[in-house]
Formats: sequence, C-alpha cells, structure tokens
Amino acid sequence: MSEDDQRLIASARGGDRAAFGELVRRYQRRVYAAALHITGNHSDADDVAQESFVKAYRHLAGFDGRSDLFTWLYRITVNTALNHLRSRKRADRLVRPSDDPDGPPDTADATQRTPREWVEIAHELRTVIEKVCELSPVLRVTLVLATVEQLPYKEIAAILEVPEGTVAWRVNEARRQLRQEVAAATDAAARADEEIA
Amino acid sequence: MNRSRSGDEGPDDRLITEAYAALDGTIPDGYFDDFSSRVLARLDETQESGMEGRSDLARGSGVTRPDEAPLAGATPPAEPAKREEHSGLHEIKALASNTRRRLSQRISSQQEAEDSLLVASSGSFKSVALPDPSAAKPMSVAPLAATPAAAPAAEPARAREERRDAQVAAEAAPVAATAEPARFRVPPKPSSAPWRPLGGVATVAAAAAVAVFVFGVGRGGGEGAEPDSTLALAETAEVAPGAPADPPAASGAAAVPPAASAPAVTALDSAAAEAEPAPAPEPGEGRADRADDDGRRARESSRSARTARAEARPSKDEAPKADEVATEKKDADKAAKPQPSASGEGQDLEDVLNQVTGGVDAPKETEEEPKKPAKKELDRRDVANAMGGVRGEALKCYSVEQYQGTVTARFTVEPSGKVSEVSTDKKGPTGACVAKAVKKARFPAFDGAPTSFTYPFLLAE
Repeated sequence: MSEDDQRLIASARGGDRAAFGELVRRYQRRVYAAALHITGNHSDADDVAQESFVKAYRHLAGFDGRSDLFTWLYRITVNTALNHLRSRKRADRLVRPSDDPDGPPDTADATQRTPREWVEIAHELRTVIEKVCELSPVLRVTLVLATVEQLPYKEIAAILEVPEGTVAWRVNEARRQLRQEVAAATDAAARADEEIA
Repeated sequence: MNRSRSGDEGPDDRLITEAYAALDGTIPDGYFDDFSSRVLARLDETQESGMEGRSDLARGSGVTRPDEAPLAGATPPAEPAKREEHSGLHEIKALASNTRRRLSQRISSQQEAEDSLLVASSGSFKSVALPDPSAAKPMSVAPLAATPAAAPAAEPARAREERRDAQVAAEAAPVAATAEPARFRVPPKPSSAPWRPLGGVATVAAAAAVAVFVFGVGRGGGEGAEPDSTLALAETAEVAPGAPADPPAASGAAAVPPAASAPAVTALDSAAAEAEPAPAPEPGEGRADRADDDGRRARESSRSARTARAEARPSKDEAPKADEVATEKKDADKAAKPQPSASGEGQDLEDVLNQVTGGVDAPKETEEEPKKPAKKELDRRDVANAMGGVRGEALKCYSVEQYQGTVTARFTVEPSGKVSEVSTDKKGPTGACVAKAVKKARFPAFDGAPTSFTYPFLLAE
C-alpha cells in the first residue's frame, strides 16, 4: 500500500471527508467495474459501488493495513454485490453492451472483424451476459471472479470465505449451466433466422 | 453466433471476458466526475437517517440479510443490520422455555395451558409467572388492629401479654390479603355485613395464631417457654367468645381452588358465618402434631412461598419488612381466604396451617387461575415463533454440504404442539439436517386436527 494511501486512510479515520473523497476517486473505477461485472447493469452497479464505499468508510477503523487497500475494497464490493443479488426481488436489468454496430466493443481483436460480425458478436455477447445474470448469485459471482477478474481460486475462496474446492465446483457448474443456456438460446435464434429466411 | 457452439464447448472464458469488456465500455463518459461527491452525500444521508449499515437496496424489502458476509478487516459490531435477528427475542424465548420446563415438572396437568401462554408471547409469560405489581392493591392497615379489644376479658393473662404480637400479625393479614392480584378477590356477600366485627375478630385470631406459630418456629427450641405461650395465644384466639370463628375452616378454604368456591365470601364474612354454629375447638388439640410437624411445615412453607411467589412478590416489594412479618403476611393471607363450606369444621388448627403453609393445593390455586382454553388453530405468528426457535439450527445445515439455496420443509403439527412428520424438498444430508431441526420445533397446543405447514429456509454461507 502506498504512503499516500496510508496518509489518506489515517486522515479519513480522523473524520477527514476530503481525504476519503480522494480515496474514492482513486479506486472508483475499479470498484465500479467489479460491481458492474457482478450485477450486470449500471443502475445496480452504481448502488453497489456507492454502498461499498460507504461501508468502507464506516469500517475504516477496522482496516489493519496488512492487505492492499484495493483488495480490502474489492472484498467489500463483492460481498455487497452478492448481498444485493440475494436480496433483490426484481429481475436483473441488463444493459445491452454493444447495440450500436457502428461502435465496436472494446475487445482486443475488434479491428479484425467485419461490420456483420459486430452485430453477431454484439448479440452473442449480450446473450452471454444475459445468461450469466440468470445464474444463481453465488455461481455468478464465482464465475465472474474466476473468468472476468481472473482471480486465482485461492483468492476467490478467501473473498467468498469458502473452500477452494467449492470455488472450483461452482466455476465448473456455472460454466456447465452457462454453456447449456447459451446453446439453447443460440439454437432458438438460429431457428428464428431460418424461419425468417 | 458460431463461436459459442464451436466444438460444443459453449461460451469459453474468452467470450465471457469479451462480453464483460464490452459491458465496461458502456460506462458513460464523465460518469465518475461526481462519483466521489455522490458517495460522500450518501454517507451523510445514511448517517443522518440513522440507517448506517443498511443498504438502500435492502430497504423496504422486508428481507433480513443473514447472508451478509463478514468483511475482511472490518469491525463486525459496527453493523447494526446484523443485529436484526438478535433483538433479544431468543433470550426471552429461552427464558420462557426454561420456565415452562420448570413449571411442567411441578404441575404436569398445567403443561398445555402453560405452553400456550408461554409460546403466545413474552407478555403472556409475564402474566403467568410475574404478575404485574400494579394488580395488587396498596397496602392498607385495617382497623383490625383495634378489634382484639372486643375480645372478652376471659382471655388468659399469658395470651394478653402476647396481644402485641397478635396485633402485629393482624396488621400483616390485610397487607398480605391486599397484595393478592385482584383476580382472586371475591365480592363480599351483602347479607353478612352485620357479622363483620365478629369476622374481624376471627381473622385477627387466625392471623395471630399463625404469626405466633411462625415466631415459635423461628425462635427454635432454645426458648422453651415460647411454644407454650404461643399455644396459649392461639388457643385463646380460637376460644374467644362471640368469635369462635373456625380458623381451620377459614384457612382451609384457601386450599380450595377458586372454581370450587362458587358461593365465595370474603374472609371476614366467612368467619362470621361460621362464628355461631362452629364449636370452639379443644384448646390442646393438635399440640403434639404441631411439634412434630414444625420442621416439615417450615420446609413446605418454603416450597409454598416459591410456587406462590407470583402473588407474594408485589406485597414484598411494597412492604419490605422483617422475614417474620413477611411470613406472617403470607400465612395470614392464606388464613383469610374465603371459605365456601363448613368442610373445615372440626379440623385442627395445625391441619389448617399445614394446608396453608405447605398444602399441595395452595400453589395450584394460583396457577390454575390463568389457565386459558387451547387455541383452535395455529396462526402465522405461532408458526413464525416456532420456526424462529429452530431457524438458527436449520441455517447451519448449509455447512453440511455447503448447499446454498432454499430448502422448503413440509411438516405436520399435532394438536399437542409437537411436529410429527417432516419432509424437505432437498434430498440428502442437507435435507435431513433441516428436517431434524424442524422436528425440534414446538408449537402451542391447539384444538383441532393435525395441521401441515411448509416453511422455507434460505441456506447460505
């Protein structure tokens, strides 16, 4: 943890809101991204990210500084998002990641695709995110941490406070369910295309 | 489209990564410009509204959040939301459970009524075991202290010397009587008004006898002359002309449950009614028994005091006196109980005292009173209360297989309040664990056929 972070933490512990605001600005993008990945939509991600920082402020006195501040924030965010998913009654709202065929998504091989491929990929990506969001909260969070955040199982196990074996099982189960659901969705889409043709 | 089906692998990790990278790309420009200020505003809002620890997302959902995982390095006690399920209700339930068990061991016939009362609410429990002190009327020293003056001059000299003690006991009698909750009070019989003075004398005599007895027991055998004087006073009180009230009969009524005392009269009226026809008991009658039963009476009196503490506590609180006086009050109170019949005629004073101080029926009288009819059927609150008692154990079943999800238990409640059949929609060890927990639930007894319920448990880490 940097000295700046330590200084800001000390000031924030003393009630310095400006110092805490600076900490928020430093980590807001990463915290928000984590929240967005788990919730799957901006509205909930906004709530979760803000709530995570509020929790962090209230528990700042308990932060012992042994781990990196972001690691600590990340755990708070994941747990807050998980709680949110569990308690939420309404269906997940899903933003469409890339409806605009003119605007290529921010992917590594974006420049190598044709415009038609953009449409297909956009639809496909939408389907993937949609099906991920239909997974149970624990499966969804575990899969996101393993695949999107690319955290090692050991760290995921520490964040979620479950054994590593459980993490491995959840990731495999999430992949299996996701594969099944995406295949069914794409088959249905293919049949619809054939009927139209 | 084709990528997800290539090789029947479905969406691989790369596709997921791409999808979420695309999702990241949808974050509006300038979104984070005022994010920190919004966080600080929210922080102020939560602190001002006193809703710290509760997410807006969870507000109004009515859903507690047992799944809130502990935060690394956080300070758990600072989370008010976690205390939602630990509001002290479980402590009240535990207290009720302990008391119920204790009472059931003592009075098995009352168990169903107690179950119903205790499970219903903590308030009901309080009314069973700890009567509201406000139910007791304020202590009043009746003018009975002067009534012994009406006793004839034929009173023996030694007994006259003890009159002061008798007056103390007479003062104690109304105190104890008024300390009893109003529900045990019976209306006076109008026609017996002329006999009140005589009844007062009889009451004083009975109370004095009890008091002196207690004094005699308390002083022990070291004072050999005391028992004699005690007996003298008791006998004198009993044979007081014009007031040959039969203390045994009067106090014997205390052992009769209220239900049996339909023609209830006050103690004074009762004593007066018995005054004329009741022959004076033999002065020396019961003396030998009294000596033999002193120890037993003391023990039984102690037990009686424990079981009847619901009634005795308010008076003790309001009029803290010496232990002797407290005992006198209680005994005098018992002696002043209404007497429905002349069944006590001819009874020895000692027998009556035994009934009063250690009578088996005496405590029953006080505990039968709050008996309520069993419920006709169980309602949501009963189910919630019963399930709340086993919920903690059921939720621990997560650790069996680390199964996360809802396990719905279906169970049947017998009229006795016991759970007879339990099944769950989750098979395997987890379902068995939940079923085992549900089996331990206890409902209030009710009148009706066995009833089936379903209750979901959300298992989570």
